[in-house]
Amino acid sequence: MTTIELVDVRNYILKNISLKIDSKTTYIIIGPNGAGKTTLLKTIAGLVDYKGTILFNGEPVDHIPPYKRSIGYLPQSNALFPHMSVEENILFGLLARGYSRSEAYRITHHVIDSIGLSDLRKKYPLKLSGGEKKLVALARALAIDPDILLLDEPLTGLHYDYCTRVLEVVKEFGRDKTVVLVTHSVDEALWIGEHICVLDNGVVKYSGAIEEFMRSIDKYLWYINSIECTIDGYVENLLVRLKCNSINLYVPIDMIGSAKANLNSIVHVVIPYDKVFLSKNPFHPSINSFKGVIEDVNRDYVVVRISDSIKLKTLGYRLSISNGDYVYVKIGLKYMYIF
Amino acid sequence: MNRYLLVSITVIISLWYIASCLAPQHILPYPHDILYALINLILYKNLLVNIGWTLLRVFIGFSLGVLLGLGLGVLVILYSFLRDIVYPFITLIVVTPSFAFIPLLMIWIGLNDLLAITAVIICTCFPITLSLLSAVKSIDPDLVDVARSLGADNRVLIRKVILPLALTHIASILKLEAGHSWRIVFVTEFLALSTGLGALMMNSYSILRVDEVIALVIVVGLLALVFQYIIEYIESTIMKKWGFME
Repeated sequence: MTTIELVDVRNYILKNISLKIDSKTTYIIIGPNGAGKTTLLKTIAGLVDYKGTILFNGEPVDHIPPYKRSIGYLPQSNALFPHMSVEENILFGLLARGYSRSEAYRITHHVIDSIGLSDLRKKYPLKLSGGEKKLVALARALAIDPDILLLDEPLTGLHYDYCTRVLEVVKEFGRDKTVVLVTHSVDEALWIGEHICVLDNGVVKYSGAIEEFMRSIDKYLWYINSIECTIDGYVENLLVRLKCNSINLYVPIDMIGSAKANLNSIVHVVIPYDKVFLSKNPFHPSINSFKGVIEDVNRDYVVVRISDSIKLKTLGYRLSISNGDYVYVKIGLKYMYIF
Repeated sequence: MNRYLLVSITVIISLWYIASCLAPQHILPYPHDILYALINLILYKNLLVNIGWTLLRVFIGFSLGVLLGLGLGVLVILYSFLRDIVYPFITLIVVTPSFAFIPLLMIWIGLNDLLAITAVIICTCFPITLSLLSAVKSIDPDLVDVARSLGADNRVLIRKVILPLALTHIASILKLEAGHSWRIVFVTEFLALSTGLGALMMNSYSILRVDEVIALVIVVGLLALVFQYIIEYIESTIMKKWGFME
């Protein structure tokens, strides 16, 4: 069990970060590209220089090198050693930490078996799929029995099956120890996290419970749309009709938590900007599709007004459109999050 | 043997016979004369012993050059201040034509085995140091970060991660330097020593035995080729094992 505390931590990217991460927590760090998320992980791991103080369980660790901090680090690239087999990759940390060869082999085989990698034991990383690489990298980080697990975008680009397997392992670890996970994806944050920190341009914009954060998510993350709606009715016990200003949105009934399922309850619909689709022609079927007018086109996103008070950011900047053009917008049923 | 290779060898030998018919014998002997000269060299001029000498010099010089080059590279990686001190000198030595060192070494070391070995070390060591330093720059920093977080101190990091990965990058330089070692040893033997293929060549040249000179050129070429193949085999075995090559 390890609590992590950052006091006024700063370096070439981070600007006076103060944070407290409790033990037995899965802590999410979210933010746009270039926000400093990976740097924050590396700073906790002691892999980059910083000023300020980092405490593990109240004890400063600033002068403790990375290999003496009890951390497991999984970078986005996995960073498997290409010249070592799966087994050797996992053995590496144990032998480097001074375990005897027999003990290191025993632990490695135990970890390999428990994560279900027995068939890959003698394979080299270049022969593995993306999901297999991620599991091996995770197994390698866990084999040294760290107190803290630092994960950088662990689910990005993974097939659903592998996401589930990675998450099972991470959640199991997070029951007793501390997990800090970096992501830019809202659904990953929702799937995994309990507490969240929003980082932007090296500054903490929000730190706290994930539920609270989701209600005002668009204030913190420019790439997220959030709309306030009320539950207006049900369609054949499959869909819920939401009234959002002058438009209706339909969402699968299982997306609405039972406490909020009453008619006229207020809910927040969260839609990542890359899940709002744009076209110059009408969508078929037309459920959750709206006609709108372009209000802003910039380098990062396009703003479309679909009702008097609802504007959506979308990823349509590649279309040849300009302000004032009429377009059609569609929100995929499964891409919304309801709070 | 590859069918095309067989054809091209036959064509070359045929053309050689035609050229030999047209040219005087003391300029271009027939191919079968070269074969006789080769047998003569083996039986009466200790060709195999001289090959042994040359191989030994190439092997010792190349191995020590590689070890010292890597060692110096590791020192520079460990102590970054050394980079500013040694880098200009290494660069200067690398850009200087290698054969320019031989007369100087003849004066300093004398005409003995150490001369050829030292010449090879000087010409092999520094390009390997330079290529190691540039290879290290191309290693994914995440690999270094992960190794450090897993518990690797500098010693383990260099031995288990940096050097093996850098070797995949400097394999082409190793091949070049292997060929270079042959040239240096041969020229040194030719100019200054009394044993080895170069010395044998000098001997045949001084009595104008063109057949022996041509036989020795073929022997040196084939041996350098075999040396090159051995290095390539080692490289491809490692690359295949790590999955970099099919």
